[in-house]
Amino acid sequence: MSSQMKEINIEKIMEEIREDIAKRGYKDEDIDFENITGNVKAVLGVKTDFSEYELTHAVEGAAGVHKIEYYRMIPKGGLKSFIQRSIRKMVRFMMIPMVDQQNQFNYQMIVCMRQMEAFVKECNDRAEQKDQIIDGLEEQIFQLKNRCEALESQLENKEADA
Amino acid sequence: MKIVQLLPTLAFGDAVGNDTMALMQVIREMGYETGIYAESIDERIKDKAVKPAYKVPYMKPDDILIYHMSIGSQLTYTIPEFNCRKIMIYHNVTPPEFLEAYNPFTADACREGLKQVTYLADKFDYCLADSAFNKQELIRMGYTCPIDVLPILIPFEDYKKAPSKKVLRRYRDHKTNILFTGRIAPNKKQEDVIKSFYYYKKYINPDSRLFLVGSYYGMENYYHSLKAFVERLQLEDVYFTGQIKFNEVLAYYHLADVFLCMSEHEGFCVPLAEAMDFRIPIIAYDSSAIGDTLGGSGILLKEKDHRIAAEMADRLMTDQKLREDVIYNQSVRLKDFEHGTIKDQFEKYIKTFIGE
Repeated sequence: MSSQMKEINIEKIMEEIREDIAKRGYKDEDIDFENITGNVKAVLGVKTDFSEYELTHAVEGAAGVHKIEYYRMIPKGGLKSFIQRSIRKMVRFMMIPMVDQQNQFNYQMIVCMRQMEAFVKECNDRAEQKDQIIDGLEEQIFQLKNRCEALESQLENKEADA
Repeated sequence: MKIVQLLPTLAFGDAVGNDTMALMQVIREMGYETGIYAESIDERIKDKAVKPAYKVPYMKPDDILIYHMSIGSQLTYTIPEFNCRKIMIYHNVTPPEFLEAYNPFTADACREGLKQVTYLADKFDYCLADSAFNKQELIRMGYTCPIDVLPILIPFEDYKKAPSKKVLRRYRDHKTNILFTGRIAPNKKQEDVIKSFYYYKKYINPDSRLFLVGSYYGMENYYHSLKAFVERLQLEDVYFTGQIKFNEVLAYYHLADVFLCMSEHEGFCVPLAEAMDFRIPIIAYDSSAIGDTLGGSGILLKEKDHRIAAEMADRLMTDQKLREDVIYNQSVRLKDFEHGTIKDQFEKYIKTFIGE
């Protein structure tokens, strides 16, 4: 602690606080956070708040991984690899159309999310402009109010003089 | 002679990013050729001297490379390849145990980061740590090179900018506002801030609010757990702002009556210095670097008892003399973090290291 600092008797304050706690009548309550942690139902059931920052990051993240690659590299060599590559070849006729369809859907979803993001941004920009106008008007009201008060007091003084 | 800084991520507005940018300015003023090189650079940073990591210039033996260590990165393994003098600025790595339940990927990155800090133990000629806590951690991990403590350079000038009128209008009333700023992250223990606020609101002052200001990006599971926790407590007036604009952050500081920090792991904790700058009395739980940063100011709680935290908040609201003394002590401590003080310290350390 610097020598310039003021001495605060924390021990004494803590003692007083403990006395206050005893007087206050705190009840033993179950406020355990551990019960919440990892409780998927509890977590998913919560209504979340809007955050433009989180939305942008989520959209960027989704856009980055929206295209699914059917083809997965399997290193050559060994029976296991041979079987895996054979299976890959065998299911190709079924997997490719499915992946294509999924990719189409993902693409449309990304376009949709981008549109919504742009819409939110537009709304926010408009709201911000309106906020600025409101700020300006509030400032004007404040100035006019002051002026009215000054004029009223001048008038009162003149009336008193008359 | 060149002094360049290297780091995995140069983010806009975070503590490490601000520190790196501010140090570049100091190095420039010292007359050295400089630059910042990072693997990932925030698009909002427009400085020409900020370049991708692969563009690090050829470093001569008398040049200096400053590496900022705060998370695991493959960049770490390139450090031994530089044939120049090397300094590490250690900002600390969050222990993965805190993050495991909520974001295993970030937990893995932190685990890798800690491994890398150990790996780098004999690769640097000199280290600077944000706090005495960080210095001790480096020593514990086997660092034998000289280590000095250099607090983070904080852009206090920015805090003088105008706060958001919208936020001020919304909350400027008779209610008591308790604030904690910082990413929503399990090591910061926002649940303990909520618990303390629960007691404060229920037993002491129903006319009160809690602002938890900070992004929850990457920690959505923890954020939703906190929201569920607030719902279960049927606690009103708890506001999670998420990532907000800088002028809005300023507004929350302007509105705050008490700053409550229950964090269990901090390498420095910039919000404490910010609260000092805004003359908000601080109550903080004594963990990691918190005590170092407060440096005898604020109210440091040695035990984590939420009722004590709540009663202490009440004390600061009702005992004017105590409030003034706490704020005064914080303003004394704040002088240690002034730009000029840290700049002089950094220059002195660098000159001593160079041997001037």
